[in-house]
Amino acid sequence: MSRSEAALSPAPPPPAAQRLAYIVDDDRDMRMSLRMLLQEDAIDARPFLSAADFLDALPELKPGPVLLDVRMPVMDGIALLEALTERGVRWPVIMMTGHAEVPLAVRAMKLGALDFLEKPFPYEEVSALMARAFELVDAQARQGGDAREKLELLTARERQILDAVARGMSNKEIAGELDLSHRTVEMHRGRMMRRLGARRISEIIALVSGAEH
Amino acid sequence: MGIRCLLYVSESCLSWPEDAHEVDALVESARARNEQLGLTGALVYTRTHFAQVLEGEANAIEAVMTSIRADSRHRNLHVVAEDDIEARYFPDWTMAYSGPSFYVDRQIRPLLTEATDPTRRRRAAAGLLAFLREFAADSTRRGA
Repeated sequence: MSRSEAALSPAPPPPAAQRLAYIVDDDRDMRMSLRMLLQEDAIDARPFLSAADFLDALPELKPGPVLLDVRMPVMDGIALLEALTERGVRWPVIMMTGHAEVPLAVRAMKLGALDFLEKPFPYEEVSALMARAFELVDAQARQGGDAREKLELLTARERQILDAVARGMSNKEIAGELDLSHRTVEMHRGRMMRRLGARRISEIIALVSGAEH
Repeated sequence: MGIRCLLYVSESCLSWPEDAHEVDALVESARARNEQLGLTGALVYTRTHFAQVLEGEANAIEAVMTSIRADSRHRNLHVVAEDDIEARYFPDWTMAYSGPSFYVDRQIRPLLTEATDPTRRRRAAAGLLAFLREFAADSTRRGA
């Protein structure tokens, strides 16, 4: 295949063995049956019996959908969702619960959960949901890659200013911290925005957070 | 004079993430306009659909709806509830939700097809309204 053809054809889907997901549920039977069912779709689901276990393992885990039980002792599903949000983890989280009451659902959606599965759920529902969750994981990975490529175009000084802008610092504060004149900061900032093709600070923040994933 | 409450749903014509700045711009201008007109409420964007509840004087709602209906960033707009209410549920106007949630999208989708029967539509509209009001209540409880 020629180089140009390679660039035009879509990236091949990753081998089935790489489809990784996580189950966090204190109910052993639930973990086992979900794990077996997901295997049918060639999804390797790692089981965790508590929120704390999952958080401990988190730094070593690759991005993947999380099937998360709402009702668990000590740290429940909502508390884990909060912990993930605080750590900037934006993986698709699917909450599992007996009954999704409106206040609970609203809380979970605000914390970035993707969906609710009301127990008992038919397997087809999980299967369809997981397929869409993996699409999101792939899209996030692509965006992360694009963002990293863009950031590599910046000079060291522009990168410094970008990080300060993303932290919410004003031009004046940046000038003070980097010991530069206000005008110089403005100039670097303008050049940085143009290089990134960004018009607003919110786009810069989205780009930086995208590159971190 | 009473307070009118209107809820509509629509399909987004924006693509995500390419048009993220369009969503920012939309929220900025809507916030300014609603504040000026004394409108409160909440907007939800699920990357495929919009839902918005607006509360305020009937005249102000009508004026805003004329410009919303003409907005090319969405299509297939359906007003699914319109009522006079005693008191406002929303202290201000906010972007209540913007994200990929299938759950939120599922609250909106049944309201966009004429095929859904009237009883189910009414129930779905009431459900979506309760959901949006809970978004505001949750923010108030958390002081956000």
